[in-house]
Amino acid sequence: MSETLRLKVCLVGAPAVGKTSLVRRYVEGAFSEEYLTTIGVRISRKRVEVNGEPVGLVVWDINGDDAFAPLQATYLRGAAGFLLVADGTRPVTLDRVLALRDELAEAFGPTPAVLAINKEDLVDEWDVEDAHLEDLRASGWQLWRTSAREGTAVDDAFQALAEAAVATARG
Amino acid sequence: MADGLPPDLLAALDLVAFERQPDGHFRAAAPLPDWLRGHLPPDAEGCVTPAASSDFLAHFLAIAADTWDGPPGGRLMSGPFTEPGADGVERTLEATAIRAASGAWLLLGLPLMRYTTTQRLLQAARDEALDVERTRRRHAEREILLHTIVHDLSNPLAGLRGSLRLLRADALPEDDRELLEIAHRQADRMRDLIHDVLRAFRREVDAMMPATAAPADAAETLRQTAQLLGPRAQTAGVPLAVDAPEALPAVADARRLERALMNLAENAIRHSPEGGTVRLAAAVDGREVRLTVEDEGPGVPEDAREALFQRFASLGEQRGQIGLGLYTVRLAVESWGGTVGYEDREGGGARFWVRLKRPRERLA
Ligand SMILES: Nc1nc2c(ncn2[C@@H]2O[C@H](COP(=O)(O)OP(=O)(O)OP(=O)(O)O)[C@@H](O)[C@H]2O)c(=O)[nH]1
Ligand SMILES: [Mg+2]
Repeated sequence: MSETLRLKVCLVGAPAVGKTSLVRRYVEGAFSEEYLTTIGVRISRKRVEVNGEPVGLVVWDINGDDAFAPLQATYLRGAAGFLLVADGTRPVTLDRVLALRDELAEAFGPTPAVLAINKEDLVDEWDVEDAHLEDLRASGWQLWRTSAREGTAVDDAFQALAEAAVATARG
Repeated sequence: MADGLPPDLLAALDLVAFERQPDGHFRAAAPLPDWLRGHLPPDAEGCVTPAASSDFLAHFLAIAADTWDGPPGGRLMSGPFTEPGADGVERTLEATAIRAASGAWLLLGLPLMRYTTTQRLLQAARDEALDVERTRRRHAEREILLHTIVHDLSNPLAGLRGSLRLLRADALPEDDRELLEIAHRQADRMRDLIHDVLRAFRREVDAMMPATAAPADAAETLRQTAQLLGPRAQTAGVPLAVDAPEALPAVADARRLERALMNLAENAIRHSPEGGTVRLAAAVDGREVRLTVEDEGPGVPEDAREALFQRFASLGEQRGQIGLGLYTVRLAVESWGGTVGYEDREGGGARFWVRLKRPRERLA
């Protein structure tokens, strides 16, 4: 049996954007309306296939970044990719995660990153302009409008991240 | 290992101590509790290889090497982490690497107590923050709606007033001239009302904004309020008296506190008989700062007091404002953790008071 490639990926973003929910949807196929804020880090595993090869994803779901519990750099070390998560009903969370992206690049060098704008199912409250997302895409972002509740584009976002991470890890 | 330490002591703390071996294994200093056996299965000698079954510990041990290879007294704590163990059960644990004179140690434990307390606090803080965000957003949305409506009213009204102005009054019979005069006055009133509504709601939205971190000087703010209102008080024939110490730091936003005090003081002037003094005072009161605004007017009637600080309370026609003034004062003061209230002034008149927290002493 050949050694499977194991890759650490981290979810980062403001509190309550749905990081834990995205992981639960992706790994367990479940969703809960209840908000239980994450303390420290919560780790899950998922096997995926990239180009026909099995890859072990070690998913680090990290506590939301705010003044109450700022992001800890030590959790992020050795990450092969970042899933940056924002809440499409709270534009400020998108601004914050984009700013975080710059901080991450500064601290850890170029690392693959994918953007998930979550809660796509909340159509009435959605508050991020399509034009803004198009601009982000045009500037090179891989981004998805996800819904952890409905499962929309959740696998796509993780798969894209896995592929980008594998490509970088393999050089 | 530490001979003097009763083995059940660590167990009672839900802590397990491992000594780091030269070969990279970790040897437990006491029998392993079940939760740990489930998480990191030991070999026959009671040794565990954390990196083999824990993604988090694999990461943590790599970072901890510096601590273990460093001078005695070194310590590194992981913070809580949650992951499935080798048995598939998810647990929240905490790890500490310690470099002691006796060796290199790894402490693993269930951060139960502290974890739940921290979780509760953080949860409360974040729920609150989300609530505030939602409320603020609803207010902002409503303000936009209001603006739209008011604009839709303003434009035709401007047209109406323009047309009325162009109507030549001298060409009209006496009776019609009077009617035109009334139409003019009513149109002006409507315009003023629209302005009032806009102003009032903007203030309310402002009052929802969270407080700034820097404390305000309540005494200075009070003096400034008095200065700003000086001309108006003079016109009304109402002397203003200020009684405040040199400086009086309080938890509040200076700009908004000034507006709140203006609001109270304007009310006081309006309700003062000519020649009756309006007194503004600030003083330390225990762990709080107490600000008062007094007048010698009729005071607030008993039956109006309860609704005084409610959203649409009004102190009567002559206030000429929609009853949001005191309500916004209350919103602002409460957002700083303060309180606001009314009492009769001894010897007649009204006294409105604001209690603010005194700021924490500066560290070091
Ligand atoms: N409608 C909707 N709600 C969602 C979605 N994803 C998450 N939520 C809800 O948003 C809230 C926060 O979700 P979490 O997954 O706990 O958020 P988090 O980013 O992990 O939060 P922290 O751990 O505090 O940083 C919960 O009430 C979820 O039910 C989604 O796609 N749609
Ligand atoms: Mg979470």
